Amino acid sequence: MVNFVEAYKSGLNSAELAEKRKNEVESVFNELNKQLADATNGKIIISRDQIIDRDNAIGIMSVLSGGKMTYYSAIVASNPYAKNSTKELARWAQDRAGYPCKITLDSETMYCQDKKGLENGLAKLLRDPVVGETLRKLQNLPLPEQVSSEAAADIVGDASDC
Amino acid sequence: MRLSFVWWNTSLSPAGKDRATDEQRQFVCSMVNFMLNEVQVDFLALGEIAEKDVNVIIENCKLTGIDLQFDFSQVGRTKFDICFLYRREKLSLNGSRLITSPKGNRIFKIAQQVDFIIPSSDKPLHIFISHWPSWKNCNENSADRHKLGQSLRNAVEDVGYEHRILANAILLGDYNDEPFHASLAEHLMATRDRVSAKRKPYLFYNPFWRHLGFSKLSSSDNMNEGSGGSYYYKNGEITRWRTFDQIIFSSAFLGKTEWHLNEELTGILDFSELRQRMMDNKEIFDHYPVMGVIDEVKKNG
Repeated sequence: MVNFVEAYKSGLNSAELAEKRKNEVESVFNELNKQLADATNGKIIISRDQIIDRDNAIGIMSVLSGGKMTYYSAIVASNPYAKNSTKELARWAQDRAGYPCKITLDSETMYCQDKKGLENGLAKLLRDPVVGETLRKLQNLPLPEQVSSEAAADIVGDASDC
Repeated sequence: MRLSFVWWNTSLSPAGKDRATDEQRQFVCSMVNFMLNEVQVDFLALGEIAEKDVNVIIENCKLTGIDLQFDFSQVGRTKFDICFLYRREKLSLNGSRLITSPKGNRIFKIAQQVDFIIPSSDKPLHIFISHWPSWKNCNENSADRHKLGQSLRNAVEDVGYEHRILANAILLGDYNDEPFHASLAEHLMATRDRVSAKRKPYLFYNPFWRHLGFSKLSSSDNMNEGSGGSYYYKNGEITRWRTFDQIIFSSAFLGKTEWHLNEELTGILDFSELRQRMMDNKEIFDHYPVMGVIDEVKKNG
């Protein structure tokens, strides 16, 4: 007979390990934001969120006929001093077990295998010239009363477990 | 219609480091010319190549109807060192991206993904060109090598399935692992068992399992043993030959679509002049090219 108790215990251990890894990933983003806050006077925040898949025209069409919108996970940046400033930097996906974490840029896909790997992956993301330009523009946005109605990405909630 | 794919680690500029003589570059040009214009190869990926080598190829090779692409991006302490040439008439480029895997303080090069459309049938074709780290830089038994296989598999799975069959994907390169190593056999899931690959469409078929030994059988009057693999290392203690260079096919090419693997034409290209240079201690060359072929089989009715 299948040993269900052993399977149950194994599942608990896996869940504990996955939880630990997800907290570890969270800590990497916290450290990233702490350093960026110091460097930009708090003008840049990096987070993970769900974005409406605008490329999926069928999805959008289906919404008109009562269907559901489709979303994907992304690493986004925003300037907390400016309204609707959120910009997508890269696509993001995380394995159910915590790692690998996938970061997809225009010309490169990175499968980050551990904490240090994720740190290096995010450092590479920040070095990307397109990402650099996006962050520069975000940091230089005018103060709230001067903010223009620039189009922003559509954010629906935290996607850290995607 | 037939499509042929060749991978060759040229040994000219490992990780972009310039070390070849002009004469050695000219020899590579003669090989490239031969493969593109005599063998009529449709896709040729070259490893250990740098910008200087590319310029010599462009200046000295007949590239009528052929496009050349490269992305020599820096990755951690190393660089991508691959370029590829393809016949425009038979393959239409749809995009290219680098696949990497940061782990610890290292960033591993997993592959360069190249997406084509085959114009004659309007079908997508995804090619993953790899040059994995040597055993010197990443030990044969290191768990990191397993991650190389897992990451490559993830990248192919990300391309997607069509009718529950893994996409039309051809994986080629110098893996610095042989077909039986866990990175390829277990983690990538590239099997020797063609029948299983047909039954289980998530498996890859690796035809280079049959190229592990000498290409010619032993006999009393054997003057030419043939090649014993794709890579020759004269100081190998147990064997001087390794089959590091391979071309691996998704099961889509085993009767699931109109494109079929032609295994008879798939294997190691044992060119005699290259062999002489590989055996010469003063030379830099140590890899044979490998070729894979797929044929379009029209369905009746």
